[in-house]
Amino acid sequence: METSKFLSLLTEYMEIESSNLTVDTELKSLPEFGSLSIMSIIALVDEHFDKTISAKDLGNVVTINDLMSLIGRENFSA
Amino acid sequence: MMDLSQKRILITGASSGIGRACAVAAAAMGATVILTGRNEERLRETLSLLQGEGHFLFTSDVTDMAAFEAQLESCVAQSGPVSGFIHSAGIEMTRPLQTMSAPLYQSVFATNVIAAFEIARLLSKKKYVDPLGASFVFISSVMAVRGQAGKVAYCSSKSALSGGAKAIALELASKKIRVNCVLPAMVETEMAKKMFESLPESSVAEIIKQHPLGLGKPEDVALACIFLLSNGARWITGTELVVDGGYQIA
Repeated sequence: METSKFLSLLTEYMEIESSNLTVDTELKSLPEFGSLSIMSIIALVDEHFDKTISAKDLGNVVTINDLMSLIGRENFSA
Repeated sequence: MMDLSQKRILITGASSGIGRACAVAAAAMGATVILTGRNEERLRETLSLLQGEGHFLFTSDVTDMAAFEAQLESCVAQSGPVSGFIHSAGIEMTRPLQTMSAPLYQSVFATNVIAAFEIARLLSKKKYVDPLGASFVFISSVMAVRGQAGKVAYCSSKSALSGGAKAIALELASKKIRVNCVLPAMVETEMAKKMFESLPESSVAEIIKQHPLGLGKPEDVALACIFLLSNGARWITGTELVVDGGYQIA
């Protein structure tokens, strides 16, 4: 998946207002981040990468870059 | 009072969790158990845990009723008519509203709701049902009556199951078939473990705290089902038996 596509999916799933998401954005710094966001990210990864991640795995994620590493770099192109 | 001898009990979702515990408890109370589920190997594991001889199993997809009826028909020909049914097959789904879609709701409802009603429809036919009467038990959930964020599909499916059970109870009363729901709160099963993994640790701790008697064991729910299947519950139909360690009052 292209990184830009991933960023737009995140924007959609987390219902983020701002459109200037980058891979360096810290997820928890977003005003929309809350307990539902974790469920939404898990759903996104399940649906688009066919991969199950746990809330615990997400606990160590700070930036979107970290999230992409958790999903697996091989899944992304520039 | 909880004796189930001379009764044949069909259990869906019998390969794990509450369904498996129901099978073990029903056999211990003297029933002949008919196990069904998707995974033959796991059904055989359940079978190996049952007391007594002469139990049955068949693999099935509860969303394919034509195939299910063919399997049921050949099973009943050997086992004799069905005197009890526990619908324990169920899908859990933790997703916020914004990530839901019609096919996702449909998949949850197909197994949690429609399968229960469709199997009740089949089993209430004269050729399958015990002429002495029968008892159907649907495993609902406290989430049928209490909401939880991220659970729109699951909560609504369990409410639908509880609602339908009451209508079916009225329709089948004249056939001496009772229909009830059991509403467990959080029970330690593989499904619950998977659900906990999708929630932040703080939410998990909070959920556990909401159970004054702690989380339940599958056996705790199974024994409530056994009571509803037994003649001891002969005057109970269309009800919701809450088995929740105090969750609802906390």
